[in-house]
Amino acid sequence: MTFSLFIQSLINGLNQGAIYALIALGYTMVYGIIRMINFAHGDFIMIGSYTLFYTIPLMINAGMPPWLSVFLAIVICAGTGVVVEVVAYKPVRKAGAMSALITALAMSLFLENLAMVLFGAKPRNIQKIFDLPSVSVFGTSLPLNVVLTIGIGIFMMAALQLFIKRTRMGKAMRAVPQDRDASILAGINVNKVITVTFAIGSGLAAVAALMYCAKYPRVTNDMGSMMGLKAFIAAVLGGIGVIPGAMLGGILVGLIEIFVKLFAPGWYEAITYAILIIILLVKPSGILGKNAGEKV
Amino acid sequence: MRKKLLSAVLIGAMASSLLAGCGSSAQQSAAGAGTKAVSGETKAAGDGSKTIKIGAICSLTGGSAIYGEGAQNAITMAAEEINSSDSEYKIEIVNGGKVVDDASDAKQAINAYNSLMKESPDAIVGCFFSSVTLPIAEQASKDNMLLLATGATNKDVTLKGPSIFRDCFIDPYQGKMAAQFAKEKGWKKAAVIYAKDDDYSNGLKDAFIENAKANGIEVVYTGECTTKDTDFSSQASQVVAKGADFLFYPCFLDTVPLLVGAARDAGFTGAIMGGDGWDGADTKGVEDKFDNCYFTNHYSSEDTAPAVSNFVSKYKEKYGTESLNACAALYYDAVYMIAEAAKNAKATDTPSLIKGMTKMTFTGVGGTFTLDENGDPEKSVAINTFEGGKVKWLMTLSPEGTKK
Repeated sequence: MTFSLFIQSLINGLNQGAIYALIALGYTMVYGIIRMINFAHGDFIMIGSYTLFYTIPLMINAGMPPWLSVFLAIVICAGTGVVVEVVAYKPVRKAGAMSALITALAMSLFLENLAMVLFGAKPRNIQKIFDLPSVSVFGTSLPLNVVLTIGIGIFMMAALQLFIKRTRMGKAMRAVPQDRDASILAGINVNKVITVTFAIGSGLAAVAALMYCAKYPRVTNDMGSMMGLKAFIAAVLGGIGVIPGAMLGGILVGLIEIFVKLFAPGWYEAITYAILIIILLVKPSGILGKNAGEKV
Repeated sequence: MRKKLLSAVLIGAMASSLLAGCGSSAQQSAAGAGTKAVSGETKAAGDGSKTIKIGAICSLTGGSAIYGEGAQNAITMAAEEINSSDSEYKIEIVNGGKVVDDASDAKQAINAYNSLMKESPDAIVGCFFSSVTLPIAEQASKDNMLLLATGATNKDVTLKGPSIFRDCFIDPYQGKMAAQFAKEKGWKKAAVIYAKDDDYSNGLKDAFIENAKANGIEVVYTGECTTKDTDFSSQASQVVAKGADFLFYPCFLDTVPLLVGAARDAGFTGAIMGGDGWDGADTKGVEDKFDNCYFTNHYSSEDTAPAVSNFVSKYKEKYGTESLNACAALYYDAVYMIAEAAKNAKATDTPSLIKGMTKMTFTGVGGTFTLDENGDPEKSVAINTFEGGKVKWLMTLSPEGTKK
């Protein structure tokens, strides 16, 4: 492997990884607060992408930079997230983890098929979002939007971490999973905390959608399922519920995929998942996960 | 997409086995048709019937209705032309001149076939999709009915029996023509990225690699992907690292913009080429990246060959341009091929037509071609390129080399 090929793949891997990381943040956040795996999270990215698809031409017509659409996408994704939570998840929350999981799977399929009815099954191309040049680094071309994706990923992670550690709402978010009843006694509105969590997690999906579409400018109704699964794996790999873990897991999965694909493209998924299994065998709670047993 | 196709084929196979019960009745009626054909033969020998009865099947409803419209117009036009010419043999399209609908569905296709058989045609033309043609071919070969498939490119279609022919090329053939095109362009180092979970892609890849070597082209990289992949950055950077000047990507339209985008982002400036699966690929937003991209197709309405421009201008005059597609051209040629088979055999009954059709050489909208022992043509392919994101005909490449 030549040096330039290595650098190029490193960049590709970081880019792919940063996208996975952004999605994994959403999984981890929801899981960290309410101990529920929101399988519909990948489909929020699809919703964000369709929002981008329909609003980018409007932005261009209005003479504004296309990436501003992401704010609309954040609003729509966060709104969808809250609606999904209130309508579908909240009523089954007391019925136990399994019911919530099944509801989330059903919601995922529902959203995918609803999108197929509304927008059609034909893939759509998204217009260019960032018009950034490529720079030459060590003899390889480095598209600047890759740097931007990675930068946004790190920024979102840091901001999220600060929010959870430093704000009152963040404190409440940390308190709820520890002891829900005690949180209520301490004056925390648990339902509000969960709703805010969903809003933030889904908003993150919109940002992930922006970065995904900047690299792979195509929207389909089922784009969220595979991507969501990979990001979920990334979240588990890093230690689900741990925010820096999602970032680490995402980047790792991205890098492993890209480098395996370089030499054995047919094998990349098999090898990626094999590595996941091995890591979990060695450290069942994920790389950054706390080994202390969870109270389930 | 292919999986759906496969399942449709399987369903078709099941349907035909289920139909075995009524299949016996179908066969009886077919046998009846056969005896009629025989009596027709004696009649042909006796009073010399000069009319060929042709049945046509295509998709008239659903998403592919536009193909059926083109097919209907094309066979009507071809029959009118032949009947008003001084040709010795005339054409009668059974079912009142109408194409029978297969609804792009294997089960419907068998119904369509059976309903046509009741009218005891001498030959049947259709269908456009491999998935619906395969069960019909199965039945037609049992009935010894001449079936001239049009758009069905799956290689198994004509292997069903000696009475099955087609006037389109088979899938892997495009791989061979892509290699020939690369040779003519002087490209020396080829890379291939193909979807390993797709028959079409594997077929084209194998044919390309086999013929690339024969044409003195070195295949420097072969990378796999799946039909579900969205990320091609690793394969693309390998293509660049291996110094390829030509990239063959025989996959379907939905991932084409992603592959082309990834290749261009990795700094690949060489040619990228695909097969007819590229037809209809969305280039919106990535128009500039599609420069120096090519794909093979059955025919192009922009082709300047006399047979093509003659067909195109007549068709446009009568029916407009909307339904003027490869399907129309293939059905048009099919009717002429059957007329030609009658001329060769000097009779209009089915066995004679089959004899006349076997290994025939034909010139039409699809160029000049000869049917091989399987009943498949080795024919010219249209090579299209992109200009500002729009498909544009570049040249028509014949198997013997560039004629024009």
